[in-house]
Amino acid sequence: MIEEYSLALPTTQTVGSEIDLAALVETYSALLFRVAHSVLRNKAEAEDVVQDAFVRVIEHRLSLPAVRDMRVWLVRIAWNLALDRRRRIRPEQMDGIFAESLVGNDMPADVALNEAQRMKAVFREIERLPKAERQVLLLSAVEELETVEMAQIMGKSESGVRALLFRARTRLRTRLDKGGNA
Amino acid sequence: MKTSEEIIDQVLSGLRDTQAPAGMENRVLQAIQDRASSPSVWRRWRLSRPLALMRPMAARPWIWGIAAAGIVAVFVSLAALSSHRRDYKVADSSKQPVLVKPQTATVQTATAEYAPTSHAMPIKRVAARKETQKAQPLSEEDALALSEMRAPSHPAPEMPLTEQERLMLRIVHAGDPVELAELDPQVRAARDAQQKAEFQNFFEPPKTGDKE
Repeated sequence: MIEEYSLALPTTQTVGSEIDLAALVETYSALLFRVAHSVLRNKAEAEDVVQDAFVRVIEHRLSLPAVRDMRVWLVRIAWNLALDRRRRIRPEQMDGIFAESLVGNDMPADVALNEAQRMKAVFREIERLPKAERQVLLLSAVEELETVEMAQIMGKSESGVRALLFRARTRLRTRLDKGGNA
Repeated sequence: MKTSEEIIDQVLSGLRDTQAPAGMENRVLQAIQDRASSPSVWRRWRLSRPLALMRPMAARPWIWGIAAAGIVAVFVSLAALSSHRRDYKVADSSKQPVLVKPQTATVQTATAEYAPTSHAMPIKRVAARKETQKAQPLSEEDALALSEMRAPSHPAPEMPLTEQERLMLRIVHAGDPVELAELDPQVRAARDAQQKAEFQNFFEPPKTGDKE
């Protein structure tokens, strides 16, 4: 996998392996951004996470040849960085802004407001889910990751990831129905 | 009205379809290159900075002399400061004995008092200061005030008893054994019986067989 991206950037040359950082950024930055954004729901913060993830690549360039799956490795880095950053910020307000951005502009104001409120409730209930269920749900939202990749990122089995995803969806739906979709 | 499932799907698809900001890749690459180049700059600065600091000193040897003189001055001032502090502490701790002792204390007594404390020099200095104080004449009023001031304090004497208190003490502490014994009901009953018997014996003589 690394040979596939063996390119040349002067500052990241190592003995026996050359990493083209530009190609890595071009290939993976969008995916890493979505992964980070699913956790943070803020574009600026997610972009910072992407930067930090590639800085980690430079810092660990000597151990890159031992990385078997660069995609999973990078996503795991970005995922952990996003979780770490989320502990320091309070994304509740960001959830509100993001929920309003998801509502279509072609509907009346009262309907749009109601829709935004319901989406904020969904984000709120997602945050109330158990940690593993919440993480699986958010990772699955990216939809670019296979179950086996999610299992590698989270350090769980594939069946465990599937069970967590099922439980997360069920619990989320039940809670939203119980809360009157408020 | 959408169902909960539809709302959940809408939210998750919104997360999936989020687009990265325009120009993010360029900004990320720029930031990474800046970050990657910063350690070399730091390493160069770290290596060159001490040499740059040493260069003018090597060109001017008299700077070394000034620096050495400054260091010596600092050490001397520190030593003087510590000596001054020690003298001040000893003088401060010797204030109380001087006040308690009578004015006629001599240099020898003071020195003998503090001989075991290994501060012979400062104590001599304090005793000499006391001699200068003693040389000044004191008026009688001042001497009396000083002696009263230095006199050891005692608790106030007890207040005398009032007349009633004295009477009460006399009643309580009379110590009459008959009175004390009367407090015992058995003794009192025995005594009553005895008095009754005596009375009977006095007014009613014993019946004997004598007939006059």
